[in-house]
Amino acid sequence: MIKHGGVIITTITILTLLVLALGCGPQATPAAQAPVGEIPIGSINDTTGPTSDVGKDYAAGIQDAIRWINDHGGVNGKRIRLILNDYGYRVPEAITIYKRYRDIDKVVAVLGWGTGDTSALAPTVAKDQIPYISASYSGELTDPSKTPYNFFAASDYSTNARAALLAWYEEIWLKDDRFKAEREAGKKPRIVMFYSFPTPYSSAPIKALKEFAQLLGFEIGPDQDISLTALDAKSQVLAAKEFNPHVIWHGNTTQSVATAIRDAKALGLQADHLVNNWGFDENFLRLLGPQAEGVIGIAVSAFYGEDVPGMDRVKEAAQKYNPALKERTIRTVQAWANVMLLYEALKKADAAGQLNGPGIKAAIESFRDLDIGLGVPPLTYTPDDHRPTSKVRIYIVRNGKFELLKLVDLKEKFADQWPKWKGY
Amino acid sequence: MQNTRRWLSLALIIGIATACRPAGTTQIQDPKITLARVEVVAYYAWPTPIPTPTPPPPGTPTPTPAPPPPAPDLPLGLAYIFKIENPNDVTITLDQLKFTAQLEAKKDGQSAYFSVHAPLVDEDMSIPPRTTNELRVTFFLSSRIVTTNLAVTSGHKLKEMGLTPGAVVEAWWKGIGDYAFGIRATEGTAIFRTPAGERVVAFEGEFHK
Repeated sequence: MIKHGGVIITTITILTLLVLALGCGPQATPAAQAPVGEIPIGSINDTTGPTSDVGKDYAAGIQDAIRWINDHGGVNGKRIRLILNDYGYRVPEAITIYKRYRDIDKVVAVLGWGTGDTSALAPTVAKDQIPYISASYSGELTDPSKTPYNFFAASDYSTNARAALLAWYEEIWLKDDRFKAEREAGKKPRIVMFYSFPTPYSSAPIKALKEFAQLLGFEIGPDQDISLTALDAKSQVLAAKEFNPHVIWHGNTTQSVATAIRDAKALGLQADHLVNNWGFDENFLRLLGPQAEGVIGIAVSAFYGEDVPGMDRVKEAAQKYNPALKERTIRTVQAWANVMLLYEALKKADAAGQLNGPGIKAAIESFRDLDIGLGVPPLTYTPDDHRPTSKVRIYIVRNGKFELLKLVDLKEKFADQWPKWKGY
Repeated sequence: MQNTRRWLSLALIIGIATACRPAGTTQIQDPKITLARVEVVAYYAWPTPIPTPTPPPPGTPTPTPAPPPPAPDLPLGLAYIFKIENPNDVTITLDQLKFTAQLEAKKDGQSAYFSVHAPLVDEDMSIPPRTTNELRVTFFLSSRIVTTNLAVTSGHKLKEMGLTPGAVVEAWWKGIGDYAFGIRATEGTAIFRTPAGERVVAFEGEFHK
């Protein structure tokens, strides 16, 4: 009896141990644990508002890049916790989201979007000592004496506009046979600017561009106000036509720029077109088709899929984390550029035991010729100057493709002017 | 004889325990996401046009007509309810779910879907083995923002259909109560944490009354 009882007890014990060891039971295996040691980063994006034509792809790029970092060891072993929200390009909503990031999520840095909201938040982020890495490349964000916590990984809008105008002046106006007679007659080149007057992004480089145009000896015609949502720009085109410009500056985003160029061609406005970086992308080619031929524009990074260092990971992440999004563009690459800047700064700040706003700022300001790949020129930031680069790639559309027209280095070309151009 | 019984018992126990073991942490199947329905969670009616006043008697000076009112800015709250089925014998955790919300616009036999929002859910949700959870994703549209959004993202396409962003938005706000048009979730991506690592699942769905 005792012997039989012993067998039962032994059996129950073995059974229990096996069940415990092999995990037979309800809720068998717990899901993977949420990571520990997280770094909270906020992101404010426009996926539904008037810049959503470029903002949606940018937001997807932010998510891809952060996921990729987390899947590749994180920041010295710490995972980034990304909190991303759409604000529909409404400044008050951006401010509300920022306050939540600061007070509830306790973020150490923010990835921002537009010029209006970035400028509105600049004094606050400076007071809060939270680095703010935006997709606004406005020149006014580059003077650390005014906006010490603002950064981005691209040439600024004013530098872009000057470089585009210089490229057109040197490569087209001075060389193209179309203008030979006028050049020889001592005529000045004429420019008109198309942009949305009330939109901070669109109007940000206008002062710099006008000054530079005067420096090069341009005649400047009347500005034309075209909204970001424009589906018709005929009245503005007709007004510009009276001035008979040789070249038009387009300062809006893709859809609006495409509308203006289409109407310019339809109404016989014989002018070349220069496009700021947020109006010049793969969708621009799709929207305009053959009408895009000859248009000149700015790209602050490589286009999506270009054969440059770092593009493999961009494509891999897009396929892995956002397989449903089929058409990716340069906006994804621009998002990666900003995230890579932040990533490098986070690693450096963390290694120094300073994973906080001032530590991240100090890390960024220590970068000299930082190479993040992706077709972005080497980036340099100092405590006195947040202009990341003076080098700008200017492209022209030929045979339906983007072709490099000129790599302009404004600092090299205008060494005396360059220091004065900081901050606007 | 007793030893044989002991070994047989032990083999039986091991057999039972092995059978009870979770179905291999390496063999994780993709969860299935379906759009169960779409609900209107907040509705503000499109304003009714002011009736034309009775014409004044002949000889009365014609008053200056009032300027047309600006396009209304009305919210519309929608909830997409998804069923998320975990076909595995282990618990998995939804890490993130996002999609593009699209509404259908129609004109003269033509029909196309247009994106109006890109909701993203970041809260974790555990899904027990062989269970289907429901996830409600609620978001608000603003008639003014949607109009703007349509203009920048799909303006030329609408023009080709003979439509304007304003007219489409008005039709949506007026017709949503009757579900007078198709509603879609596209470009959907959900990321799950599982014992075998991260799984990314693409999905889409369509809802009609």
